[in-house]
Amino acid sequence: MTNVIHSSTSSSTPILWRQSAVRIAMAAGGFCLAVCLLLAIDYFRSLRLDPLHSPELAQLKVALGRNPGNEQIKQQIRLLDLELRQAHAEHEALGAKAGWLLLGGAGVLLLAIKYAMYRKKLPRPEKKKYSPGAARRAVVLARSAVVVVAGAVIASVCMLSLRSESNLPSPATKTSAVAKSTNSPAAQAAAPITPYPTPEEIQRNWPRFRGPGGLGISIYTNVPVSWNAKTGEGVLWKSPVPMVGPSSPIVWQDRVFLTGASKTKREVYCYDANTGKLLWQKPVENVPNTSPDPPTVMEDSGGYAASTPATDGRRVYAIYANGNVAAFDFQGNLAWSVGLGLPDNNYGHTSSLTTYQDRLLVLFDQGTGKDGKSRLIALDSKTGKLAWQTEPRPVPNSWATPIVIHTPQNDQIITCGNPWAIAYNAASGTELWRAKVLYGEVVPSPIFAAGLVFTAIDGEKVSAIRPDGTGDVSKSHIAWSADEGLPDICSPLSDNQRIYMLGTYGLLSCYDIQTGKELWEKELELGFHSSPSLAGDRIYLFSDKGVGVVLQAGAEFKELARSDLGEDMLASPAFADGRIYVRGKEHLFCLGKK
Amino acid sequence: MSVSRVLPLQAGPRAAGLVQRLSLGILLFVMTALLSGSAFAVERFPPPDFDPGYKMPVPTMPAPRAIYLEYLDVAVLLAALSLSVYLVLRKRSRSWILGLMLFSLAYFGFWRKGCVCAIGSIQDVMLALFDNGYAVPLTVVAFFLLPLVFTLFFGRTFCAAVCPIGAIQDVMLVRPIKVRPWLEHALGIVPFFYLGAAVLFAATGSGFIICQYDPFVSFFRRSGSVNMLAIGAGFLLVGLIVGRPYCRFLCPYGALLRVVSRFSKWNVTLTPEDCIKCQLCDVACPFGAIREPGPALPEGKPAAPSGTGIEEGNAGPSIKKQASAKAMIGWGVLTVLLMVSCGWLGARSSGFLSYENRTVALAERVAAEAAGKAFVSADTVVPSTVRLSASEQREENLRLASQAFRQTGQPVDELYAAARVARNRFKVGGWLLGAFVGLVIGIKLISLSILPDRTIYEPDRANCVACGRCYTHCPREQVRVKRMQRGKTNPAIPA
Repeated sequence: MTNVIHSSTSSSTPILWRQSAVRIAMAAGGFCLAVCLLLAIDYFRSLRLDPLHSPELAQLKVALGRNPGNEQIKQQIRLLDLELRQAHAEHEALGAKAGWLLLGGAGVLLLAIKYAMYRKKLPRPEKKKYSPGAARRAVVLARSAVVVVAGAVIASVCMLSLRSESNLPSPATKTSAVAKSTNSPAAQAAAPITPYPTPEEIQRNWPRFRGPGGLGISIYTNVPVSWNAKTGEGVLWKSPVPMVGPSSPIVWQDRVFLTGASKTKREVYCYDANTGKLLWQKPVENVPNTSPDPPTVMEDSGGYAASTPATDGRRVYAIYANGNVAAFDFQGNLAWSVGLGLPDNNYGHTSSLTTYQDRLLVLFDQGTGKDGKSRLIALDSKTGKLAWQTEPRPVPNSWATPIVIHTPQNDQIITCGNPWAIAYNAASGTELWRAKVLYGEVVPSPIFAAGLVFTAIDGEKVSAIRPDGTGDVSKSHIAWSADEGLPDICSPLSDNQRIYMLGTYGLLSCYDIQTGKELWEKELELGFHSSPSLAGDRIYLFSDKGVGVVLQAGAEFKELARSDLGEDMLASPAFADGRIYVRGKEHLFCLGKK
Repeated sequence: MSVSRVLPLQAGPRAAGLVQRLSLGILLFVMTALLSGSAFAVERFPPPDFDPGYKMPVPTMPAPRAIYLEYLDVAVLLAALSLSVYLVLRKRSRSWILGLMLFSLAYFGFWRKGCVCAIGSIQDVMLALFDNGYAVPLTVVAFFLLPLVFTLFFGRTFCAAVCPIGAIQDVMLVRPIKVRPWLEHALGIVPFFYLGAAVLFAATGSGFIICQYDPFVSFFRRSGSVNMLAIGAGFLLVGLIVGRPYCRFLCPYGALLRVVSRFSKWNVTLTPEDCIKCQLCDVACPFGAIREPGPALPEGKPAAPSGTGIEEGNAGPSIKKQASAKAMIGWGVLTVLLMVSCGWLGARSSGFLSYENRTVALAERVAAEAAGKAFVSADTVVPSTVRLSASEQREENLRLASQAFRQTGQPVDELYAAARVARNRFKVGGWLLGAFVGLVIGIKLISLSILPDRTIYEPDRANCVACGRCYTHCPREQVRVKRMQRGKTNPAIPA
């Protein structure tokens, strides 16, 4: 009976056919491999000529952004664009043809393999005998497997369900939520949709060092004047900060962000602005291009996290003394991180971050000024990729934070270094003007008030610069300058009528903003590193020992209150609706009326 | 001459084996490369940035397919199904079935590019049932119903040689390995879960996930997203050694056909009258569809469920009957419990599942933006130099959808209300889906507990895809064929 199907294999003819099939399979396989090789070569070639990711094209576009009228660059872009597109079209056409060839080759290969592996004579299995025990075991095994697979599917769905949270307001709370959104500034910030944080959104928050625009001015006038840390009066909450750092708090709606670091560890903290609860604490680690060497910092002041973070309401960005930059979303998920390299800085990097539209600006001054190391860098805030960077800045390591100002002509980034204050086009990073107004170790950041840029440094002068010049404006655009009562660490403050400057040894001086005439000077007999702030017509100063001094802004000195926080501090305060957030050496305080 | 031929032949088995393995490797590589080649072809560019003379082409809508061609599709389907029935049940020829399979692959697969297909038609029919505004074409209804009707009468003849997805896997099968029965049973319930999910998403108007994740359509069209190509590549590569993995372990229409085929009037049979239990049909079947005989029971005696502690010969008939009834009641209660608990879990998961619904996803995005939990932007674009992952692309799409929604000026509350309605439908659907999943698990566990009462090797009505491989290898079938052939040449011999 079985001979009927097996006897035909005794002839050598099928074996010869099989051998032919094997040879055909080898030939078809070789052909397919050759086509694959061709495809691979073309693929790698296409990567280099990818119109969407061409670095040359991107560079040309950046160059065009700096020189919008340059016809030569435009022509270069057109030619390169055309060349890349043609190359891609060729790549696609080749891919389509090669695909058909490959399909044909694969078909032949498949047929040949199937023939070569065809078994007319199947292996004769041993006779199976039914065994109740084996059958029962098989059933148990199958049941278990069914339960495992079903359980795995159900558990996967359940786990995914647990991870997802709904943001939809419940029908009951919908009306009140909408009504509230039209009244409260914080809620207004939540509801409207703008391209980037609009100026109004930014004004309602405290998104960077010294708040909106880096001016140290809050729009809220209802912030407390006095408090008592010992009795708790005027202190809404007080939360410990895991790691030290002189960086200042920033606020966006109901969240307060801080950074902290040690020699080996760097972290970002997010607090609930209403309760002080630490919502999340995220390490910044495994950052590409991290230097194995620790940075040089002022360790006694916790200089590993001296730079204040920044936020655009979408993500929070932090930089540390070792040049690592990281971005987290508001849920604490790492969006990206990048290492800029260990900065060559005498006291450690302290310049804080700021944002401009979808760019994160990093003033990375280092070295001697002659070695070409200093740069202003703009990163894409969504991806962390380099958007542009300036030509090497002619300044050595500096510690001031840049500001972005809006002038009728353009948006400018104002930077300070020794000896130049330099303005860059905020969109492209091209230099607009520079003024030789600084000296020594530049720490105070610039401010913009009454249409003038103010820079100041002890040992040189305070300068009022008109920002509408080009090139070197050291002589042409200085509205006034003065050389008394100058700051060495703290940044200046202005109420648009006067400019106030605070020295680390407590000397506060006031100048008329238009004439540059000194109006008054006052020795506060306190030490300061924190920069002054303005809320309404009141100036807020916080001493190194945590003494908060509130003054009346005006042509005459008038002290309104002094309150003791009971903790040393170096950071500058952050202001919100009816509240002040102050970072002490160990705690984050929220000052306000209960 | 003869020596030179003999030597390679003597060294043949090892060398040929090596070559075969090498060829198989090449085939794997080629299939991957083929898919990759297709993947590159779907990239798109924005128009040139700097070309004053560039004119944007006017977008044109392709003309609808002529109606007679749609009817032609139905006619071809009907003809192919009829021919398949003839070839499977009457002609009983693997070669002819393979021929029809190749035709179906060429016509329904590469020519019609995988659409319209019976598998995806489930969703159209479901959406039409639950949404009065959706008019399902008659062609689609025909593609949904015809294979079901044919299966009800003739078994899975659609899977045998008409479905292009089955065909492409069948021709790819090179070196089949046996999937262990326990794994076969376990993975066999997955298509039912997929079917339930597909029905839920289609009925709620959330999407056609069967089409969205169709692993082979990108092959038929030679174009598709990287994800689809990757899934297709995975199935084809597995399909080189595992027979029809998609049909057996994922196909939702196959799940339907499995159920219907159990009640089919005619089906694939081997030689029930004189099976010699040589097991060659079992060896030949790459789909694990041949069922082994159970314990030899006296005629007319019902099988006792396993797991009851009763073994043959150690209990009287009345005790066995009681125990069997008790066990069945126990399994029934367990099934009900499973349905309730899975239904509850389904309802609890409805929030997550509803994210597939566009209205819900958009409302969630808008709400997240309002709560400051999502990136808000009206006109920023992702830099063109950034390659987005699938999840990032989804996020970007939602951001753009949110932006477009806000430009319409439609009140947000209306969007939220629509999302809540959709979510409530998912809640009901979640209960039903969960109960269905519980039912499938329960029935599977019960079916595993019933001892087979067959005494011969025979194709499983549900799982047999009627490919005809067993015909070729069954010695009794060969005898029958020879007898028939002799009968034709010599009428004196009965066929």
